[in-house]
Amino acid sequence: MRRLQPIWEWSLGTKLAVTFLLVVTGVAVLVSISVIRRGRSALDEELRERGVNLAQNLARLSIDPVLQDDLWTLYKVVRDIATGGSDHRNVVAYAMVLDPEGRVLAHSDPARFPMSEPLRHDPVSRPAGQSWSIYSAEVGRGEAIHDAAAPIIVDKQTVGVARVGVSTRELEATIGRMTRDVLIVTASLAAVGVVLGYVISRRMTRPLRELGHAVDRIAEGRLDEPAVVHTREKDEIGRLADRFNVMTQRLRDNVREIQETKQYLENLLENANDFIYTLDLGGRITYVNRRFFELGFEKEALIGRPLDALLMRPATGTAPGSASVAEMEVKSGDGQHRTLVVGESHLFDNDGHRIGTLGIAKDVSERKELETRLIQSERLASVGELAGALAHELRNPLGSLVAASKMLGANSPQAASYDRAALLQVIIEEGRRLDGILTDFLAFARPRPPRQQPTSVNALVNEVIESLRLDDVAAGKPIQTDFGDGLATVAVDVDQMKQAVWNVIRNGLEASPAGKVLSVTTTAVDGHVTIDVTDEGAGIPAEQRARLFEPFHTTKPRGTGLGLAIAHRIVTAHGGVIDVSSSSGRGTSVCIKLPRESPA
Amino acid sequence: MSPLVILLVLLGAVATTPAWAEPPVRIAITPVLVEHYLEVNRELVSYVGEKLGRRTELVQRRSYKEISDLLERGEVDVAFVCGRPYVIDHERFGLELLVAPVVYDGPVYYSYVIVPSDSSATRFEDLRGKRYAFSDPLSNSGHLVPTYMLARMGETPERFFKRYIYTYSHSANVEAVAVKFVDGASVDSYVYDYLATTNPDLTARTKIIVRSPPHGITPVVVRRGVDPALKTRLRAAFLEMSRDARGQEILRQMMLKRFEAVPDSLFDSIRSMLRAVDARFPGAIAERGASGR
Repeated sequence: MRRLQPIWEWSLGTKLAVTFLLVVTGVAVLVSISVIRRGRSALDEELRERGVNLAQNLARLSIDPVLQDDLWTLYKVVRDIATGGSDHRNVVAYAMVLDPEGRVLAHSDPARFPMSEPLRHDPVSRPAGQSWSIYSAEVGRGEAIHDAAAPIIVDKQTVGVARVGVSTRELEATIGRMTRDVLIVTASLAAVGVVLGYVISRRMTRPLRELGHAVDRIAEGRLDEPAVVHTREKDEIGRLADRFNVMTQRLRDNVREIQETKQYLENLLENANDFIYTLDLGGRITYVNRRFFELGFEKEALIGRPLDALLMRPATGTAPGSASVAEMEVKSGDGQHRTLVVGESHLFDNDGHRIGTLGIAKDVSERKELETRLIQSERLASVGELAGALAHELRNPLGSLVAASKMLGANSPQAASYDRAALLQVIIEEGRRLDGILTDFLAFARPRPPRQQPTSVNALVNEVIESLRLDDVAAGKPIQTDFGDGLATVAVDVDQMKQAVWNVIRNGLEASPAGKVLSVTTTAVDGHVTIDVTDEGAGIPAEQRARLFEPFHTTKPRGTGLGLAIAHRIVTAHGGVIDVSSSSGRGTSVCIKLPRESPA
Repeated sequence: MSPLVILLVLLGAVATTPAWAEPPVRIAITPVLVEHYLEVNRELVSYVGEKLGRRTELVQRRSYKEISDLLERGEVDVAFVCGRPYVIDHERFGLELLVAPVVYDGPVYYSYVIVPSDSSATRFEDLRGKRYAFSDPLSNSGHLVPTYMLARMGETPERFFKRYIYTYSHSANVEAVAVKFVDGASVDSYVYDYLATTNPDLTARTKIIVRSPPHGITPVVVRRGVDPALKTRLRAAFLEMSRDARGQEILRQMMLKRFEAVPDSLFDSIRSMLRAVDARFPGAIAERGASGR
């Protein structure tokens, strides 16, 4: 048997039908009870009256037979009263005539109540009165007897008593039939009520059911199918249906708008030139845009997979809104290596809970290649420039050398006037100058790897200064040293580093006006040893400062332009840094910064 | 009006006037015989009228006494009466026998003492102290026979029975026993046997415990002074009933074999019972017969 549904799960139809049933049945039952009660009362009253009438009739009819002692006739009268009229055949239980002493003269049941015997088993025995009287007694299940008695009076003398017992059996049967009829009517009304309730509720709830179907279609996302509820009714349900139709139309419009917006956003994402992806909190890919597929990835191979399997991901922070950018290699689906610049940020829902990661990556592979080519071409340009500069440097001394040589070898009359010794000196000097240029160039162009050994910076700097004091350039220019105490040794190639320091100090001396002090200091700072060379010269204009370390760049009339370039190369080869700070008119400071320990 | 004048008038009427103009022949029947007998009584009276070629009229009275009075006063011409009223009224005012029906082998019948079918009584003596029903106080089978039986026992109804009643009808007696209004009753055997055929459910609730010797059956009588010619034609009418279809049908319905002429001596047994009762309890019968109760 099916479990009975709780009331709140009943359909409207059932509820209405049950309500009709209950109301109709309730009213019918109340009316029935009232009707039956009144009916019983009226019937009982009528029955009593009939009993009295019959008793009085019997008394009247009994006068002659009693007076004549004609008991058979009396019996027939009694019997006729008891069984006579069809209308009270089942009503009269008995009829009898008693003599004044209470003996039976005639009883409708002579076998049980024999003539001339005192009345036995009298259910409603009572004394004979002077007028009619009625007594009632229960004689069986649901049956009562109303015993009506009327005296038989002749000449004011009571010669007997006529008694008629009327049974309520017929009344009960009538009440039973009435109850049955009422039940039938009640049941019919209830059935009509149920049917009516069902029909009305079906009719009333038809738009509701349509609403339900329409809502189901909407819930299933079938917005394209018409979800209009048709009803002519203009009651609450009708108005609800109308509003529903309006709502559905708006919903459809909104959904279309949302879909268009979504389509627009998807197009934005899909057609973006960048790689866009999202990850869940576990680092698995939840979305990738079309750019990934252009790399040869299959969508199925990406969604749900950890991104780490594809590339080395940059570490991301956890603070909301934090972002990180990293460059990383990825092996694309077709086996090519690509370089991506990846920026990731956290994704948050509306409540601020982190739900994943948004990544936007740019493919910089081609830019990288372009950069490499650019560097190469720049390098080639530098070589050309260098060669030009070198040729330019060589041309002047070479020109002087050639001119001096021509003059020495000339036979012209003017030749005798030439100072041959001076010409030779010119040839020698220019030759030396060429040699110096080439030596410097070679040192710049073909540096040998440094042979590093632990060296005291102070001692190295001191040796360079002492050697320079003998040079002409140092004449009249005092060198002030300030060597830091306890400096750690640095691992350097002594010859190369001496060259670098020599170049820097000599530059400083050259820049220093006569009488101005050149200061050289060494210090230890944060695992580095620095050598500062500061002059008090005119300083370097800002526009030239950027080209200080370029080879053959010089402001001096007879400089090769290679000094600072060589120093830069050596220091850099040692893992150090050379830096120039200068302001026009205030002198220049060059700082060599070397790591305390040689790089691995 | 003297009988002679009536006779002359009757004769004149027969000779000179059509049948409808003559006074009807009045035939009295008491329902003592059988209640609810009206239809066949009418048929019988009509039949007789047809045979006579005269109008006839049915007169019914409840008791023999009433019919006896009518006969005595000449207000009826023909009557069905019990053998005992015949015997008495034959003496009193010259009632004359006409015919008597034949039910059994001869024009005789019996007096039954019946009790309810479940009664324990087997003899008349067992009814001592019981309720008893006589039919008519002038009835032979319904009163004289049992009274005679009591007289022979040295008893009177007053002493022997607790209570007795008169129903003035043999069929009522059967019914009174059947419904146990009384514990026993005397009935005319013809009535009882007739009921046993026509209403066996009723008689089945009773049983016969005493059957008297045969007595002369209830005769058809004419009052004294009836025109002898009419009497002759009347007798002929009854006697010839068994010879025509209509008469046979009436006889069949009345369960009679025929009517036949009977001698007055047929009722001698009744006369001897009357004498015996009167000898035992002088005046009892005559007084009752006169009073009708």
